[in-house]
Amino acid sequence: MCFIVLVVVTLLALVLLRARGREDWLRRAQLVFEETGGGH
Amino acid sequence: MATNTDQPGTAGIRTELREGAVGLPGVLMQGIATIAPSFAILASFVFIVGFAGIVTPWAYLFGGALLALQALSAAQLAKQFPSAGGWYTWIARTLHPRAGFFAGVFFSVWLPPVGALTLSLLGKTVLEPAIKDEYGVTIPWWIWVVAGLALVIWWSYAGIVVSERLLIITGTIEIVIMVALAITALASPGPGGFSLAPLNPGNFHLASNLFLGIVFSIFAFSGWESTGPLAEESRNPRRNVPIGLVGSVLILMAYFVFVTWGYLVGFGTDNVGKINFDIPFPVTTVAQRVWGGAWVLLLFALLNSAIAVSIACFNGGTRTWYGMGRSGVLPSALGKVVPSRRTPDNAIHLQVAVNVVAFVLVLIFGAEDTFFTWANMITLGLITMYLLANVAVARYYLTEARSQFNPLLHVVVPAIASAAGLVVVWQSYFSPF
Repeated sequence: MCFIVLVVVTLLALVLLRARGREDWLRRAQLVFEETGGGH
Repeated sequence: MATNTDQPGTAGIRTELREGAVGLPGVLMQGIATIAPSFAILASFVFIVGFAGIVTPWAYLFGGALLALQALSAAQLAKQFPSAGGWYTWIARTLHPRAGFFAGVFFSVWLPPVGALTLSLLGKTVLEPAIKDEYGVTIPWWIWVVAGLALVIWWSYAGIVVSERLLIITGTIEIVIMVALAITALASPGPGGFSLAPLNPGNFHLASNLFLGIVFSIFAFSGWESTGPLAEESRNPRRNVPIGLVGSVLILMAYFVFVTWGYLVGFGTDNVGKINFDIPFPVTTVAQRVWGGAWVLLLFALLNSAIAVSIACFNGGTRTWYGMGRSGVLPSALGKVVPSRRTPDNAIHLQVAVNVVAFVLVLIFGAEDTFFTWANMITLGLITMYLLANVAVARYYLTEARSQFNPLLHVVVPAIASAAGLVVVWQSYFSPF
């Protein structure tokens, strides 16, 4: 039951982000850490 | 935060966390401590023995082998995409950002409240009654929660170097004590004497249901996933994080096989059928018999375990939120780092708040109900996350990274791992066994 609630809330959050036009994160979420070599 | 996404093909971000601060031992201990070697025995041993009986070590061996395949699958993403976002970033990058968001949410519900929930369960069900029985002194359970969390929070703000060093110390102490107990138990066996019967596959027929023992042993291994978010603070993350993911499962597999063999022999191989929830925790019984008054070292190991898992979950949870805040899907304040200590303090503040909420829930609903309701929920969340990652591995290596495609690693392993995950869900929630 708690899991289903969690999934529904997550879906609602995604819908809300889309409705507000906050979509820039879709690109930024795919960025990975660029290793600089420092400390290696 | 500097980005250079305008350069084709690089898609990189520089980190503000303390880059290169954690070596391979720290990365491995992040996974091992989150599995919680002694706490996992406390939570799973009696349950698994109920199904697997004398061949309980085999249940852990097979369960670990299946999880090792899942870890190997996840490692295929970890070696390509080092990021504090961990699973969130891996799945967002290779499957879809919205699928990654689900993984980020599951991580956000899983790791952050571990400290309050674990310390509450340990304090309420083990420490308070055991210390009262042994010394006649009542130390209220909530004192362990408040004191333990205070230390963990302090170390978390102190920075990754301090917290990983303490993680290695506390994690090592618990493993040494638990292994020492198993060795002593083998040297001083219970009824039935020293025996290799728990390791003999010829005894599989003596288990009431070895398959279910394997299914439920998989729960004992949860925690290895938390290695991912340390990528930006670990040395050579493309090498060390994958090793941490797979290595923590393999090390714990060997640990579980050895210590459960020792505890069964110490309890008495003739008495294995008597192990159930109606008797005191059998590992405590073994410790009291072979160590006398020094059995309280077992309590110390469990307390260390709870502290270690709390440290590891503070690190894993806050770094995932840092990654999500940096990408803008959570408030950008979570992606801020304090320059002096290079810690994501806003994410740590939030994690402290989550632990306060978890503690309030424990006070309202009780430690056991709150812990097991949460554990039930995150088990489904983690398996969903595994499935998403497995699909992502196959998709990524069949398309973008086609030149590196290996059918065994990128199709067969994820498929077997996914099938194992689905069987666990079926047997745990739907099958009327």
